[in-house]
This record gives sequence, structure tokens and C-alpha cells, in this order.
Amino acid sequence: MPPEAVLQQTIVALRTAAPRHREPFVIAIISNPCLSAPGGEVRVDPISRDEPAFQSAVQTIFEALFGQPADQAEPFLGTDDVAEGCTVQHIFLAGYPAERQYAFVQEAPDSDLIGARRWEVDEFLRDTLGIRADLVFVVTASETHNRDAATAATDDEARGGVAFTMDGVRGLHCYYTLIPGAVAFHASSNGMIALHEAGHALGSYQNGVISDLYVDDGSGINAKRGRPIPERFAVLNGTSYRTDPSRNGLGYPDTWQAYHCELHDPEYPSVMDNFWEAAGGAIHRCQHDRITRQFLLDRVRAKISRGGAI
Amino acid sequence: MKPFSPDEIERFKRNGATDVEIEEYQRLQSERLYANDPAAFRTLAVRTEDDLRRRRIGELWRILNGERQTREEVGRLTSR
Repeated sequence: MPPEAVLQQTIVALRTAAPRHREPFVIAIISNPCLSAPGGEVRVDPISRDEPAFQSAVQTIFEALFGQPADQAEPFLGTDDVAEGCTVQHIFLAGYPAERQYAFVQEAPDSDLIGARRWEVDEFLRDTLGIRADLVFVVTASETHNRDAATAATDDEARGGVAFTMDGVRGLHCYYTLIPGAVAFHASSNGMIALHEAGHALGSYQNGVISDLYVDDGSGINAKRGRPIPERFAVLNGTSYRTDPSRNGLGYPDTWQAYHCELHDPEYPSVMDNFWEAAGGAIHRCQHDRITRQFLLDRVRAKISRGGAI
Repeated sequence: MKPFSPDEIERFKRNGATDVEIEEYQRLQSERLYANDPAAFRTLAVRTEDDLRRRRIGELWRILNGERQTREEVGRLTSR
């Protein structure tokens, strides 16, 4: 790094977990210093020169994750026992040179997709800032790519967790990750997108991903494949969940094999489905389906419990 | 991955893409993100599967943006 570079690192705690939680669930929202273009070139991310845009994105993410907007139906982390175990920090970085080590977001070729470089951002958070995050949002203002995307966590299974069973198969809500789930979030994106991407990022590659429900995939915790569609979707920790027989009014296309879990409110699509198609454009009425919300909150609760409580 | 909005789908259709192609593009991109832990990409099988998927994503992205190639053009490109 050139010696004359003036680096700005502003770290602010937006929410602090209740003191009785020794090791809270930590969410880091960080501005992206540099972008890695599809060809590999690195340039400074415009967000690093636009702190107001970053702060606006931080508010959007924070409010959506904790169910704060008055018209948002999904409470998500705003559920009382979960909220009090969460710490949220936002970090604004400016003045970083266009070097690959500071490119925490890459622009994918053949698309407008942005992706978090999850190893790099986690390493920076840990080694430079001393932050051990469980969930990371990297905010970018790429001029060419604005399709938000997330990667799930790579769990650290060696350090234990809270066991669960789904359809008789044992899994683990791990206390720690080797690499946390990470979202590449465009500064122009809205709260429903933040909720959707957080759903992916809180999943686990080893212990269950949360899939996009608007494609005929049928893998992960929240989707299965087969026809005819059975009445029961799954049994999670002894609780039986029904299927959504009609995909909340969007309808399963005739060619599909995927099917989903029942909804909290069958009037609106799931957060992980095509929320743009919500009746009347009321995207904020969308909620996670029943098994997705339970699974994700179980994962967060496991992490909150890891250090014990005072 | 953020789903395509109705406006984006409309634009892709105006560019000549079909519903099937639009859906296939989204499915392949979504699979790239969630089918495998990126930490598993060191294995040949995962890399090969991903290369095939990525190549098809490239073809579909050009179609979505109105740059559908003829069979001959695709043949020329892949034989290089």
C-alpha cells in the first residue's frame, strides 16, 4: 500500500447484544473498497466515495433484518429472544488503493451478478479489524452490475453445535463458521432483497442451504422434488410441516418438479420466491415459509447460545 | 440471487428470449451459487460441472441480451 494513502475506517455499533450474551451473533455491514471486474481488473468501488449512499444501505439492511418497517410482515431477527442476542456493526472504508486484497465484491461474467469474495472480506474483518462476523453484507455501488447474490456459510463442524434432524437425517447448527455467509448488496437495493439474500447467507453448505424458490431446483432445506406433490413437506425436529400445494397463487409450472413448504400467509409469495410477483406489488407482505424461518432462527439461536449466558 | 423483475423479463422477451431460456438462465446461476460450497471447487468433478454450466450461462446471457448466435457461429466459437 502506498504510504501516502489516507485510509478511513469508521466502525459503528448499530445494535449491541444484551450484556448477558457472552458471544452474540455478529452481523457486519461493510462498504466495499474495490471491485474485481469480470476480466480480473480491479478498480475503486464508487461506494467508497459516497458515505451517504452506504449509510442509506445500512439502514435498509438493518431495518429489514429486524422487521422494523411498518409495512414489513416478516419479523425475522426482530423476534425478541433473537434480537437481544445480536450485535450489528457497520464499517465504512475509504481511501484504499485498487488492489485485489481489498476487492470484496466481484462482478460475474455473462451477467449483472455481484458476488462477495467471502474469504477476503472475512480475513479483513478478522485480521485487520478484529471482527468475527457470523453474517456479512458487503455494500457496493458497481456501475455495471447490480444483481445481488449471497453465498452460504462453510460451517466449522469440529467446534460443535446444536443437533437437529430433518426427515430422520441428522444435521448440526454449528456454533462457528470457517467462512461466514456473505451477501453482495447493491446500494440501490431494497429491504426485501436484503431479507432474501440473508436467507441464503444464513444457510450452510454442509448442513442445509436455503434455495431460490423461483427456479425449478428442489434442493436444500426449503425445496424438494417430485410429483405428485405430497401433503407433508418435511419433519424438522419432530414437527411436521405441510407443503404449499399451489405455490401461493403463483402456481407451479406444469414442467416443474420442485415443490415448497407451507406459507405463513398464503396470500403472498415466500421471501425466497419471486417476491416481485406479490399481489398488488406488496412485496413487503412476503414472509419466509414456515420451515425456512424456523430453520434459520434455529441456526441463529444456536450461535447466540454458544458462549452461554451470564 | 435476486430474481428478475417483471421489467427485466419484459426486456429479455423483447430481445427474443423465451420463457424457457429466461428460466434456465436463472436456474443455472442459482445452482452455481448454492449447489456446491465454493471450498469444494478444488475437485475436478465440481470444476468440470461448473465449466459446463458457466458456458451455457454465457450462451443464455447473450440470448437474453438479443445476441442469439446461429448454430454455425456457436460451432465456430467452440471449435477455437
